[in-house]
Amino acid sequence: MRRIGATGILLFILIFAGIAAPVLSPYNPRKQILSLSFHAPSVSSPMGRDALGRDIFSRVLYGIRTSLFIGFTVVLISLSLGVTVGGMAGYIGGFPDAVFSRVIDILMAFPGLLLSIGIAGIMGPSTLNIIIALCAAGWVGYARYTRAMVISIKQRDYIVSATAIGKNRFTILFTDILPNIIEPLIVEASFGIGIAIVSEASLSFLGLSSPSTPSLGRMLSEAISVINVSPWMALFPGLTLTIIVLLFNDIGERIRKIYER
Amino acid sequence: MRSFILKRLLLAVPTILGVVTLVFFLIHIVPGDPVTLMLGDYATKREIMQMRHELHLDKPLSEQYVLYLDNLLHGNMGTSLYYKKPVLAIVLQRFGYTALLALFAMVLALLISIPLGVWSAYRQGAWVDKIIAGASILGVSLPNFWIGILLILIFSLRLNLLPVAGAQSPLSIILPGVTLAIGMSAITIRMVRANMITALQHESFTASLAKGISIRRTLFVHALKATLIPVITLVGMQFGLLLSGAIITETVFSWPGMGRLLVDSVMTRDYPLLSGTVLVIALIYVMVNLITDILYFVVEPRMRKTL
Repeated sequence: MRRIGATGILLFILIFAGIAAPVLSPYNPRKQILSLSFHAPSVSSPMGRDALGRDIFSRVLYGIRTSLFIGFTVVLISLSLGVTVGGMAGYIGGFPDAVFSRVIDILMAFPGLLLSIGIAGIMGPSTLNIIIALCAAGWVGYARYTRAMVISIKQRDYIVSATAIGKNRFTILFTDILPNIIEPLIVEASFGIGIAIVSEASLSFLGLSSPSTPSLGRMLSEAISVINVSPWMALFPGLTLTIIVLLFNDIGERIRKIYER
Repeated sequence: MRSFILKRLLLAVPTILGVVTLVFFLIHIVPGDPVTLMLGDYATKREIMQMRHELHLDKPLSEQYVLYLDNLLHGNMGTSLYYKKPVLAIVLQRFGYTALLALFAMVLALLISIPLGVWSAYRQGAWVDKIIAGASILGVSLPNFWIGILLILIFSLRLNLLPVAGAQSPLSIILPGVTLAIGMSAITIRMVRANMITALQHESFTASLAKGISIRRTLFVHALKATLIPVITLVGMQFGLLLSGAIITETVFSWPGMGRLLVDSVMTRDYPLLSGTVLVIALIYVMVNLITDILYFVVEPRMRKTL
């Protein structure tokens, strides 16, 4: 546990802040007080107020909540889908695997966020559409990784003998093969959450998130045109986003080191 | 060699066809009627019918698909609703800007990451190495739109040194280029460091020192060898990151490239332009990957078996 260290504690605080946002935030994040617009950070509003007089600290807390919710959901769905599809393709082989590999090649031909921007852009701004758009692009990496791992493991003696004694093929895949790759998948997933959170922020920065949901990316896009008047509108959401991603990257790095020992 | 290139080219054909098919279906995932969404609530029935006819949406799906492929083969990606011009012409007009930005960022990233990666490897475990490692994990975690906003705030608005946005002056490329280069360098430094550490352990390194060749010269020669592969990987693998980063960065800096065009087409609900831009960017990516694979094959004989 010591190797998770400070990062683990900070991450715990962060997740707590996200879950408890409704209790912790001093104001309603959507409440507009126009007389307080562009108010600089003060004791009552430690991160200042935005163009519509909304409290930035409260919005950041809710933004963390949105980021974490989307990050975890996207990784959970992508991981389940990717491991199942990739695992079966690698294990069964033959024609299904050939078809699967083509599909992977096609999806990999869209660099990074391009496919997600295309999907979310066409489906319209909403949280659900962002999740769909990110999963549509996100599962591919896990699927490809799982497939490669399953192919390398299925030739090992204990799998061959399990097959020889007539054990059910799916039982072999899920109880004998997949548990062997769970460690690297956990590492991939913790990097994946960081990536999903930045991707969500990017999509909402481009205006593809629901306007009523407080999101760190959307806060930054609102800040850009008034950056000279109220730099705090960009400073705090951006700093929060960076810290979240940094923590997930660092925890991934640490977990990897633990497994490598 | 020729057979490898031929095989690789043939393999790209189904991928390209798949990409085209996927992009074709993009417009069909619109919840509700895409034409009503594009034209807005005030469109007359007649306008809607006409648009549906122009986009061939009144025909069966299979027929639409064949028409789409046929048009593509003739270089026709449809007409932009907003600009009222052929989509391909608009996208190609913007291509140069994105290419310029990507190239600038890539060169900058290499200039930052090769020396730092080599230095970090040479001083493995020392404080320099630790600082560089810390900086690189920070660099990976910094969202590029935030870097962009901070750079604008510092260098354009406060110090008044560089233009805020657009591409009017040759200096305009600096801030978006730096924004893109930061994330890329962070990843490349690690790659260069790892390769350099292996190179430093190689006998030829010690042999070269034993022969009395200066440490600086030896490092330089080995660094070149160790960084050749990362450079190619950077051009290939990270080109995707670069393209996708360019979409965001171009939006922050109003840089008139393909990324900015894509985002604008989302905002104006210009679906023909949106799908056309997505298609062109994906096809460029496929081509770059193809070229990288072939380059790999040429410079790294060990890779030949795995490809």
